[in-house]
Amino acid sequence: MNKAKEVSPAAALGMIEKGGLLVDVREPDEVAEASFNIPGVMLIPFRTFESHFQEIPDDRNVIIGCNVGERSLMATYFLMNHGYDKAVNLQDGIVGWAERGLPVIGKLKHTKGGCCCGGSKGHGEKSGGSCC
Amino acid sequence: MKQVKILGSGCMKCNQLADAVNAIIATENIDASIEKVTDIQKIMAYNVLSLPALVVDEEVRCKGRVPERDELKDLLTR
Repeated sequence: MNKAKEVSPAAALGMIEKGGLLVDVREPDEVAEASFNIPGVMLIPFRTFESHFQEIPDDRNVIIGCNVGERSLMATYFLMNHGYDKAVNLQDGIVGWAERGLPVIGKLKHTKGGCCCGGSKGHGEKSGGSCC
Repeated sequence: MKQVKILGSGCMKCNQLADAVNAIIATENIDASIEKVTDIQKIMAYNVLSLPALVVDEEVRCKGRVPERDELKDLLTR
């Protein structure tokens, strides 16, 4: 399979300003903590992505974002597997977005990844394994 | 020989599944090779979002959980 395309936060913002759609796949507790401060963000938590991805239009540029870009990379590949050829991954997620001074509402408490199993618990403690 | 793959990026559940699979293959003398797949691009070739996942002979037989021993034995031997 082809490698997923990834874009920097600045490039993602440029795509959004030209009509691209940002899809945030973080879990509700993460979104409540801090969120992308741009209009029209679509929220589809990673845990429910498999059953709700069809809500994403396939005729627009779509940028998939999460906390640091791991879950969103999986979601991007998932969309590619379902024929979405305009889906790209947001590099470094909302953490990278915020680090580059792009607009965020709230305060990010967790600056590591979410759980590879889909949840937000543990926020990326993969090797230690507390995320599940 | 069966080809068994554990898909997961290395969290606790992924490691639990790998340990359980290794134990059953050893105790049941199953002729199998085991591979842990952690690369997201390779994992997504199976189109699986729920991890960990168990793949036997290129068929996804379980995803998003660690099955009990009896079920896991069945998944590995059927």
